[in-house]
Amino acid sequence: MTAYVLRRLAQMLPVLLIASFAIFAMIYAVPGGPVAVIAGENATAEEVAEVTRRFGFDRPMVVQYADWLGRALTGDFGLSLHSRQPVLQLIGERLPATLQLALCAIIVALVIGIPVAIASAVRPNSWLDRVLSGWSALALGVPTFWLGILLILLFAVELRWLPSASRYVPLWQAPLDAVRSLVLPALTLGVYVSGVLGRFLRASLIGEARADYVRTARAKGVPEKRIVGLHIMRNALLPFVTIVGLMMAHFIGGAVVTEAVFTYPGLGRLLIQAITTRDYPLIQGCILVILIAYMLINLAVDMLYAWIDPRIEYR
Amino acid sequence: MTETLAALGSLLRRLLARRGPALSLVFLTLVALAATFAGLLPLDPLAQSIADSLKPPSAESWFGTDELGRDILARVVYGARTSLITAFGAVLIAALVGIPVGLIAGFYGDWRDSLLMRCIDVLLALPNILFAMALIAVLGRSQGAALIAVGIAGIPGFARIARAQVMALRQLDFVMAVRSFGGRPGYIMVRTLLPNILSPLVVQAIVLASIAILLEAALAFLGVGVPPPTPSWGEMLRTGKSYLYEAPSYAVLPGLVLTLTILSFDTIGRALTAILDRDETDASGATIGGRR
Amino acid sequence: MTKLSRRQFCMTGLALAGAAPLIAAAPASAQQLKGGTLRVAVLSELANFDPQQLSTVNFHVIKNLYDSLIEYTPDGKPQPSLATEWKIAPDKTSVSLTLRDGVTFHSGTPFKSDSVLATLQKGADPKRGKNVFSTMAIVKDWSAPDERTVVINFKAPAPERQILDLLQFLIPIEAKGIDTVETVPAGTGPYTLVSRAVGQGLTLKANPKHWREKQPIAQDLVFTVFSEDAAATAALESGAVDIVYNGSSRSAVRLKGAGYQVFAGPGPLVQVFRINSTRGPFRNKSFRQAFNYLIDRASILRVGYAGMGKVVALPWAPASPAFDDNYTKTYAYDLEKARKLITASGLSADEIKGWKLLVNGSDEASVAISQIVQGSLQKVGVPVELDMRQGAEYVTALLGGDFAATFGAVGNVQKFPSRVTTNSIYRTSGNPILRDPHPHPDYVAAIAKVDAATGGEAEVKAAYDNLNRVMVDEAFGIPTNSYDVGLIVASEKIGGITLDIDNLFIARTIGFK
Repeated sequence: MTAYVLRRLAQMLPVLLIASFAIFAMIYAVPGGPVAVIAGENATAEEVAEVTRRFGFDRPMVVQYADWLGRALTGDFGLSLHSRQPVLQLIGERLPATLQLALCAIIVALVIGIPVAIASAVRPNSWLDRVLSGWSALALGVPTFWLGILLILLFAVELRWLPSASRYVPLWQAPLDAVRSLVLPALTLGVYVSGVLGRFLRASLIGEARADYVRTARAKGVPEKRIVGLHIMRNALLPFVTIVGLMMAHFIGGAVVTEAVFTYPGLGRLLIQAITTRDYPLIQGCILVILIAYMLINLAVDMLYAWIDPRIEYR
Repeated sequence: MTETLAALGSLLRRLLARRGPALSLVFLTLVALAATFAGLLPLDPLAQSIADSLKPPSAESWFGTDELGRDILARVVYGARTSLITAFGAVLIAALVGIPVGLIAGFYGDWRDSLLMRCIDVLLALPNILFAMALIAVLGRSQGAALIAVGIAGIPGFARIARAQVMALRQLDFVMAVRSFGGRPGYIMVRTLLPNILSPLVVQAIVLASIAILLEAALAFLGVGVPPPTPSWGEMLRTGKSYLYEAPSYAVLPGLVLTLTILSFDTIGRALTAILDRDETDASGATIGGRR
Repeated sequence: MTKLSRRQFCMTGLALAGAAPLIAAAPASAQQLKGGTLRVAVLSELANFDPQQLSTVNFHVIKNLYDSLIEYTPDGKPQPSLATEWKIAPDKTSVSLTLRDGVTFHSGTPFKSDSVLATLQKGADPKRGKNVFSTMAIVKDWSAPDERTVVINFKAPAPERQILDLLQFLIPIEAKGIDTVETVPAGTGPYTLVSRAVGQGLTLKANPKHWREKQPIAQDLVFTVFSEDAAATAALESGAVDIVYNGSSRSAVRLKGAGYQVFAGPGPLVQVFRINSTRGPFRNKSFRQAFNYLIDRASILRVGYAGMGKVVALPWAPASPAFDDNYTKTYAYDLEKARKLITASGLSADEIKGWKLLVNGSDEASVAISQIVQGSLQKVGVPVELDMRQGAEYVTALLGGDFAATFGAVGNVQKFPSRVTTNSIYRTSGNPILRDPHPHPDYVAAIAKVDAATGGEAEVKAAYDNLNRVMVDEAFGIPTNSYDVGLIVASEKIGGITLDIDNLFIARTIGFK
C-alpha cells in the first residue's frame, strides 16, 4: 500500500512539470502583459522600460521559465507581481476558504441528496420518485448564479437575515459569523451537487437492487430494511465516493461562479484576478495548487475505495 | 429519407405523449421562434431612455427596464438569439471534433486510442469554465470566442460516447461482414458505424445544448461573454445583480427564462434517453444501414 | 475584478496627489465625541508606508501616520501644520518655512529641519522620489539656516499656488527612517502602527505624544481589507465595522437612504472621454469638437455614478482655481450642434466610422457609460463597436496609446492646474497617446503660460481662462463628470468626520457620539 501511494505521488511530478511549462507558454500567448498594470496607467515610457527590466520580462521565455523552475524546486514560488506578497501566502489565505466552502456544500448536498435518492430508489417510477427526480433535474438545471441571486434577494435584501456578500471567517474562530457568511454560498453550491448525487445514487441503487445477491437475500427472507441499509447501500457507495471526490476536486478551482455571486474570497477568484492582471507567478501557483489538489483528492478517493471494498487491492 | 422522417415522427409522438417533455418542447419552440423572428416584433433591445431606467414591470414594458432604460423583455427575446447561436455553434464544433475522435479511438483501439483519449482526459481534468476563460483571454471577447470556448468544452462528451458505442459495435457480425468484404476503415466508420450510433449522439447533442447555454451564461455572468450592447441572458444577470436593491425583477426574469430553457433541453434529453434505452432492450440489434 | 478596476482608476488620481487634511470644520461644539475603537472597512490592501508613494491603496493610512508641512481647507485655503509659517519671497523664487516646536516622531526623535531636508532629498532623487519627484522639478536647492527654519529655492519664479501645492505635498519622514520607510512608518502623525496582517488589515493606536490638542479622539484604529464593495457594505450593515472608506457611489446612495451618513471630499476624479487625435477621423478638429456636445453628461453621471458628482466640460474639481462652471452650460448635450460640427468637418459618412470605442470591461461604470456614448453616436449616424478589454489588456492598450477613443478618469483636478499634465492624455511631452511632437501646440503653450503666471491675480486668471478655452477648442479630452473617490460612509453613531483636499482618510477627529 505504501509503495503504491509513493508510486502515485512520484507519477505526479512529470505531470506537474509538463503542466507548469504549458501554463508558462500559454501565459505568453495571451495578449497584454503585467508591465502596464505594475507601472500604472500614467507611466512614462522610461518607467515602463524600467519595470520590464526590473522584473526580467526582457529575457527570453525559456530563460524566465528556467529561472522560475529553479526557484520553485526549492519551494520559492516568488512574489505576486501586483501585491508584492509571496504567492504561497496568497494561496494559503484562499485555500482554507475554498476548502471550507467546498466541505459545507458537500455536507448540504449529502443531507439533501442521500434521502432523495433512497426515497426515489425504493419505489422506482412511483409518484414520489417522479417528484424527487424532478427535484434533482431542477437542482441540476438552475444556474448557480441565478439561484444565488434569488437567495440574496430573499435572505439579504428582503428579510435582511443574512449578509448579501460573504467573507471568509474560519469556522473554528467565530462559528456563528462563519455560518452566517457560509449559509447562502454553501446552499447554492450544495443544491447543485445534491442534484448530481441524487441522480447518480438513485441510478446505482436501482442497479444494485436488481443484482443477483439482492434477489438471493430477499429469497432468504432477509428484512427489506437490512437489504437496503447493508447490502445495497454498501455497494452503491463505491461509485458514490468517486462522485463526491470528483466534486470536491472540482470545487478547488471551479466554484468561481458561486464565488463571484457571493464575492467569496476563494481560490478560483484569485486565479481569475491573477489572469486579469497577468500576474504570472500567481497564475502559475494557483493552477499548480489546483492540479495538485485534484490529483491528491483522486488518490484519496482510490484509497477510500480500498477501505470500503476490501476486494480492491492496490499494489 | 421517408423512413428517417417516419422514425423522427414516431419519436416526436412518443415525446409529446409525456407531459414534461411536451411542455419543454412547446417552450423551446416558442423561444426559437422568438429568437428567429424577433425582428418582426415591436421590440428594440438597444433603444435607450435613461429617464425611464430601472422601472419595474408594467403594461408598456412587461419585464421592466434596465439601467439604460432599455426594454428588458426585448433584450430577453434578442438574448435568446445569443444563447441559441452559441448552443448551436458549440454543439456543431463539439460534434465535428468529438465524433471523429471517438470513432477513430474506438475503431482502432490501439495507440491511436490511448493518444486521443489522454488528450480528452486533459480536457476533462480542467474545470471547463476556467479553460473557457483562458481561451477567451487569448481570442478576445466576441460571439465567436464564446462559441468556440463552449464548443471545445463539449468535445470530450461526444468523443467518449462515440468511442464507447463504436467499441460495442465493432465486433458485431454486420461490421465484421463489411470488413471481410474489404470495406476501407473510413467507409466502415462513416457509412456503417456512424448511422448506428446516431441516436445516442443526438441525445448528447441535446444535453450539450443545455450545458452550452448554461456555460455561455456563466461566462457572460463573469464578464467575459458576448460583449455589450449585444443582449445576453448571462450579461443581464451580471448587471441585474448590481441592481438587486433598486430593481429586483431585472435579474430575476431573464434568469427565469434562462433556467426554463436549460431545464427544457435537459428534460427532452432525458426523455429521449429513456425512450432509446427501452428501444434498445426491445430491439434485437442493429442492422446494416442504420435503421432500427 | 472590481478591485482591479478601482485600483486602476485610482491610479490615475494617485499620480501626484498631494496630501493635506483640513482643520476640522469645527464640528458643532455641542457634540461631545467619545473615544474607543474605530473599525474601518477599506477596499484595498496598502502597498507600503512611504508617503511619497501616495496612492489610493494607502490613502487610508498616510494622514494618520504622518503630517504634512501645510494643509488645505476643502476650498483650497492653506493652513499651518508641521510648518507654522511660510514666507514666499516677493520675487517668487524662494519660500522660507518655520517649523513647529515640540513635535516628536513616533520613535521619540524630535522633529527638526534635518528631517525636512532628508525628505526633500528623497523627493528630488529620481530613483526614490516616486510621486513627489515631478513636483520637485521646480525646486533648485534648499538649506536649513537653523533647526527650526528651512528655505527652498526655485529654478524660476513659481506661481504661489504651485509653491503651496508643493508644501502640502511634502510629508516629513524621520531622517534615519528614510531607507526603511516602505515597511516601517516614520512619521509624526496622530496614530502609531501596532500590527499589520498582510491581506487582512492593520491596527493603529493613538500617539500619546501627538502635538494636536485633544486629538486623536479614538484610542484604537482598526482597518479591515475587503476585496469587494458589496462585502464591505454588508459588514457595515451588520455592525461589524463603523465606517466604509472608498466604497462605490451607488452603495453610498443606497446606504444614505437607509440612514447612514455619507461624506464626499473635495478631491474627486474627473471622467474624461479620451480621444486619440492622431488617428482616423479624430485628426479632424471639427469632428473632435462635435464630442463636446455629443456626450450626454447628465445620463452618464446618473447611470455610472448614481448621480454623485458634477457634470463638467473641463477637467477641474470645484476646488480647482481654474474651475469655471460656464463651460458646463455652454457645452451641454446637444445632438443638433454635434451633427452640424460633424457636417462641418467635411468628412464623408465612411470616414467618420470604422473606429472602435475601447472599454475597460472590468469597470462596471465604464461599460455602462460607453454604451450611452455609443447610443448617442448611433443617433448622429456614427455607428461604432465597443472593444471590451479586461484588466491588464485594457491598461496595456491605454498605456501604449493603442486606441481611438476611451473613457479614463484623471486625478489631481483640485490642485494647481498644470498638475493635470500628470495624467497621460494631458501630458505635454512624451504623451503616449498623442506622441511627440505634441499635435496640439496651443495646448502645450497654454500650460506653459499657466506655469509662468507668477504675477497678479489678473495675469493668473487670464492664464487659466486661456487654458480652458484651448482645451475645449482642441477637444482631445472631453471631460464628462467628476465622481467621488475616498467616499466615507459611516454609521449614525460616528461623528467628527474631517474632509481632506485629496480625500485621504483622517481619523484623528472622529469619535463616537
